[in-house]
Amino acid sequence: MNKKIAITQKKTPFSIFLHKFKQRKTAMIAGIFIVLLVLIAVFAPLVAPHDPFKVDYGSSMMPPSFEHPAGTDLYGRDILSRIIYGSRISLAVGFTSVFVGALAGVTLGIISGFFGGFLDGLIMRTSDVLFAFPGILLAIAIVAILGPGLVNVVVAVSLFSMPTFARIVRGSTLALKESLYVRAATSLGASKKRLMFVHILPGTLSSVIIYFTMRIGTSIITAASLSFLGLGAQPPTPEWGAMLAESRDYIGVADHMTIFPGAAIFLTVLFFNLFGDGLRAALDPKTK
Amino acid sequence: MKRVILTLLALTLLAAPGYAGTKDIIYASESTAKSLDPHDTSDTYSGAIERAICQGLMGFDKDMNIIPLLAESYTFNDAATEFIFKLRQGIKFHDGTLFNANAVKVNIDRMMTGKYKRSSLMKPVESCQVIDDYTVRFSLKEPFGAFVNAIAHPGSLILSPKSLETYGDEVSKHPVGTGPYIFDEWVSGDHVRIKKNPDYWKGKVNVDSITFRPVPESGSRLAMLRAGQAHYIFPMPAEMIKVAENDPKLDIIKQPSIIERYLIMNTRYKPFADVRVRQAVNYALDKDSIIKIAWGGAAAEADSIIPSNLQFYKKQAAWPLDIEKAKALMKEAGYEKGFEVVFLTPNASNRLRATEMAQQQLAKIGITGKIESMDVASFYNKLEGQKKDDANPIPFIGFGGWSASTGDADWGTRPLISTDAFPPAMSNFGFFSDKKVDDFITAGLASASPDARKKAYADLQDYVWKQAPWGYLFVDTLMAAKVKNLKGIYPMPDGAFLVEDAELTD
Repeated sequence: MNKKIAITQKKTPFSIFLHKFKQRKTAMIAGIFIVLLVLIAVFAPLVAPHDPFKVDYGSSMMPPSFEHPAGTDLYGRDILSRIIYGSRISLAVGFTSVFVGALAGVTLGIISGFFGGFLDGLIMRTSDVLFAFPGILLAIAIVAILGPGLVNVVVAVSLFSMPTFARIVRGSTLALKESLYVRAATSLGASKKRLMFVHILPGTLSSVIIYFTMRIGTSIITAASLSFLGLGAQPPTPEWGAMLAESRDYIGVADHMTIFPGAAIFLTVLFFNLFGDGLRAALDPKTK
Repeated sequence: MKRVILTLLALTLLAAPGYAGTKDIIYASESTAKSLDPHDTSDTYSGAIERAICQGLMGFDKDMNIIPLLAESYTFNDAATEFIFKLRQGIKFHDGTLFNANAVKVNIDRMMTGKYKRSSLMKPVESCQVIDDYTVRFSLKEPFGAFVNAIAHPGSLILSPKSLETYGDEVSKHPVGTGPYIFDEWVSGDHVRIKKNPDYWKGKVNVDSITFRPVPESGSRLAMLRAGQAHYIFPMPAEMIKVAENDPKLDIIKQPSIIERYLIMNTRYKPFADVRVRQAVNYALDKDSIIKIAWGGAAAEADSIIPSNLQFYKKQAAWPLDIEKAKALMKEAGYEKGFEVVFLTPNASNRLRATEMAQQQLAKIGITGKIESMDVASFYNKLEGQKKDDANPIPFIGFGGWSASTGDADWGTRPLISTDAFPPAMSNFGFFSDKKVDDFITAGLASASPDARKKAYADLQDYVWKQAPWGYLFVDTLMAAKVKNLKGIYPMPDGAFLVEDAELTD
């Protein structure tokens, strides 16, 4: 009896997942980095060595030193502190926009897959239209219409994350709809709502989670690009892309002003992607 | 093998004399030529290229002093309503047509049709009459003391009447003038090439051709110059001045401009309607730091409402940085706690930097707000779209700049601070309106006598400086860079350039 319990415990989906995930070293490192980053963002005021907004014209463009480990920017502000505060913005924008996009996309995807017919056609053709635009171009167009600002960047990024989620979920829904257990539930008289959200939705979640994680990296880079173009965060907000834009004229004169924010973007996006890769390896039943 | 060597030798012999003999200059610039029809050009860059091909009755030297070119001399009446120009004789256009009074009339009449971008220069003109072959008279509708400046402006260059007949408005692609260079080729969106005029009336031209090549990205422009792919670049990016200074092959040219930069405040409405608030802004601005950091040092603090290179400029006492005094003025005006504004700026990086610094500095006296940056066209659309009587005006501070391209005090003040210049008519974007200012400006145009005009503009500058319609910032210093063996290309204070004396030594 005892032995039997032990065996079932070993085989819970989560333990299988954890076991597989632990095998991927890079994904583990990425995970640790992301946890650290989140902690830094949450406790920014405690971690940052200086006030990220305090200008000091006297120490403009100072190279890295003990006082300012990443140097100072054009107005003498501490770059490290600005990057630390900037992590709040990047993470918030990345997470919120993907979350909103996923919420809307998943709902649409289930509806589309479950009901089929005209609704399916409408949702999928609209997605096709959105797919036809390169992501960043669509985001630029949306921000150009709504006006610059971080909130509008979130709207833009959510909007172009939506169709992919819709499509992924629609695919799984189509498959699950025909599966035996759903048919069983139908014959037991489950309502459509119950079928969709209790029986089908959980089955689609693993692929949603993978894409969600990968997408955060893309969203962070899109938000930074929009800020770089002056369409996102407005000064003096310490947004990474905006910091790059401010200092790109000084490449070759004060390189540290671009290297550090650039590295912050690069590492964050890289680690989110590695983490997503790890998740895929662990969650996808096709990769054993 | 022998054959190869012979071929090489032959090639060298063929190529060598050609190489040593031609002197071709490449001028790399931020801008792209938009038209080569002087009467229908509104940008400084195209105007400067036209000036190498065509000439006007009067022109500017490199310091923006007015000099006679196709005219020998001129006279005017006391009321400044009649100007008579004596023309130079024996000058031919590039197509062989003789330059005479009739050629002048054809050009002026063309401008007076009102169809062209520079028609406004001839707006005061009632008629242009040919008195004899080498004398023309301009009769004006009303006194316009700055008329000679309008004649010297690159918009008033004289084209060959024959070319106007042949090409019509297509002359913008085939400009024919009397200048030191003949138009050679214009690849639209790319380069313009002009070549030496062998029969130039002033004498020998020293280079064979000049190619004007647009290179919008400032880093590549400097890289081209350093690699020897360009001989002259403008503007030299101020951020990279250290790189250029360390290169022994290069020279940096600095020239005070006539481009004044200032913060526009909407003075028609509270809180900027109160002169004390505007003065507080001027006391709170750290001009020195803005010049150093935002503008890379390529500017000088403004010391009058017009730049020092304009005619009739009078120096004023600078506004010192004095936060305490600024706070006291804000308190007096009833804004001890400050107020919110919107900072508007074009999104060019240096303008954005300057606005950001103004935002940092004005926060110290309680003036706070967000920055809205946009492309230049949207920025001016926004300013021009303001209404004179707005029920809900938004207090804004906008980053303004003005190049008075006629070189005269009139064009540096009237379009910016007179009551008649409210947008959309002209560029008084802060709706500044003051009876005294309007009177001084009218007085400045009522006569062509330099003494009377000087007096009017001196009074104007003394008075308006303290009225602080703007947050005064600085006057740009133009920076160009060139290879050491190039001589004789001069940047002009309005951002144009003179290439007539260009010379390339070995």
